[in-house]
Amino acid sequence: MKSVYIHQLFAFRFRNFDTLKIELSPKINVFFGKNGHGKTNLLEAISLASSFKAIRPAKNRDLILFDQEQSRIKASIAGHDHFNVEVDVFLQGKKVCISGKSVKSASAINHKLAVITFVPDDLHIVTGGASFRRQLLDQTANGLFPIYAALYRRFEQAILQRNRLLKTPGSSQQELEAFNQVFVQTAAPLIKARHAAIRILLPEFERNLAHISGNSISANIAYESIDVTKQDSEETIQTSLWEKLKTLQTEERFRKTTLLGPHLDDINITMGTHPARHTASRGQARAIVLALKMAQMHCVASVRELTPILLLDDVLGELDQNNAQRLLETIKEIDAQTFITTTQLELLPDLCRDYKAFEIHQGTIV
Amino acid sequence: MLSEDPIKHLVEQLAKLPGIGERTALRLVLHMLSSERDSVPTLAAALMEAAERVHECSCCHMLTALDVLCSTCISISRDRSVVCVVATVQDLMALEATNDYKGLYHVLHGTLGPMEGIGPKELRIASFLSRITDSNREIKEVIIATPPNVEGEATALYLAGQMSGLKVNITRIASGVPVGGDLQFADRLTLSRALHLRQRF
Repeated sequence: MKSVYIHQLFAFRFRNFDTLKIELSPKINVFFGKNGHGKTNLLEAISLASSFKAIRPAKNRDLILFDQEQSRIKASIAGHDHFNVEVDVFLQGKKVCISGKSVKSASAINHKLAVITFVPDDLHIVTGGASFRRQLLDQTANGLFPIYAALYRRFEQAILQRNRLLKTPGSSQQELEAFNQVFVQTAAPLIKARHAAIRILLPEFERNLAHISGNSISANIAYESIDVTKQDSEETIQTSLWEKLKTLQTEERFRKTTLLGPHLDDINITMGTHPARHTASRGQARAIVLALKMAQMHCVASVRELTPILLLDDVLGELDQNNAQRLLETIKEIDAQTFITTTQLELLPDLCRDYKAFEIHQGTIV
Repeated sequence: MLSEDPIKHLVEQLAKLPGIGERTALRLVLHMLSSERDSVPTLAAALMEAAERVHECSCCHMLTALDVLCSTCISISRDRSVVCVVATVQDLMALEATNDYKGLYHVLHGTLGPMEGIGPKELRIASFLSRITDSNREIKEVIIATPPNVEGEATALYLAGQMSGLKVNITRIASGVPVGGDLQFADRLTLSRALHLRQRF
């Protein structure tokens, strides 16, 4: 097992921090303090440095200290791999470097680090809209397959161009055919990767759910996309996409947008024969979410043979004492570097006594 | 027409160029006005001459200062049975610099991009298709060398679709690992594509 961790973090004019430099523990780090003082902002800096992605969708302007034009985050990584990451955020865009070398895609960092976040919004995975489940799917696939981010970027570009073409008056069928082919070529590898991710996730999910619920809940997860069986190759996925595109042709022209593809897919979570979103109680829904997140941590660690970096934003307080305890057991088991935010240190479960704590007050570490 | 502030006017003009912001434009202007002032008339004359004489070749749409056709199109030593389609003048120059390719070219002046408002009519596609049909089967192969990004790929697919009824071999340039490059530094998508499109050794 390869273990890598963030050893040092430097943030300059980032969100509400003017200048900040901290040494981090390779085990559990806790950021505590009152709401609105910058705990989550610090987690955001770590997320950007370790995955080039913000935890919550954010405009560049919001990542920069008020009235400034640029912010910078630097992280030095230690453990089985040594390198530096630099993220510069400008009003118009971001620039990222790994050990001084500029990189274009998040794939470059995903190849070296795997990051898993657990935020209060994740509690909507069972009951909320499909976007919450797609986020889980994308994060799992990103953690398992470093190339996923690059594939996703290419697909996104294809879908943007295709949607615009569908909105362009007088565009020819032949031109649409060309963009259809690019759409199919870029969508198929994503669908294949997501199928593979769910296949890896499922047994771990079942095991964790049984453990959390004391064998009282059983649920199933399935990737819901175009009709293909799990073993299908990229070529058969392409064929299925083509057939489906043909049947949607008239409707897409009429609605002027793409009506199928990975950006619209979902995970079907079922209990027995019913969708969990209708039948699960609040407690059951939470147990399923927790089992999914714990499965994600286990899978990434075992498949990549790399301990993931875990970012837990205010979720320990949302879980009951037993579940919080189980989550911490998982963290200890895979021995991952973990960042936890909480309003009160006393709220942390007993198991979590061996940590480095940072108190955050008005954008500084006290 | 005289402008009130010649420096500001010149900076504004230069800043319209791609890759040049106002700060760089100002630096260039101040440099020309101080140490390089003597060469300003030469630069201005060169600009004027290029603007007056350079036009698109009526066959391949490469930029040329020759009368109607460019030097490649009138050359007797080029292989007239192959046409290589490229997106930009720079791409043509890059291929030409290899000294490897002896066929003809066709410059599209862009790639299909609905978001940028570029459709087939904005590119030199119609003239390309009539060039192939009018060649009386002299053209045996068309190499599509548009970039391997989403837009370049869509353009390649569109061209291939348009040529489907014609008796001509359509090929696409390969994509893969740069020669002399280290595998570990190649970007991952390129590497996986190179693996996927591997060839018999």
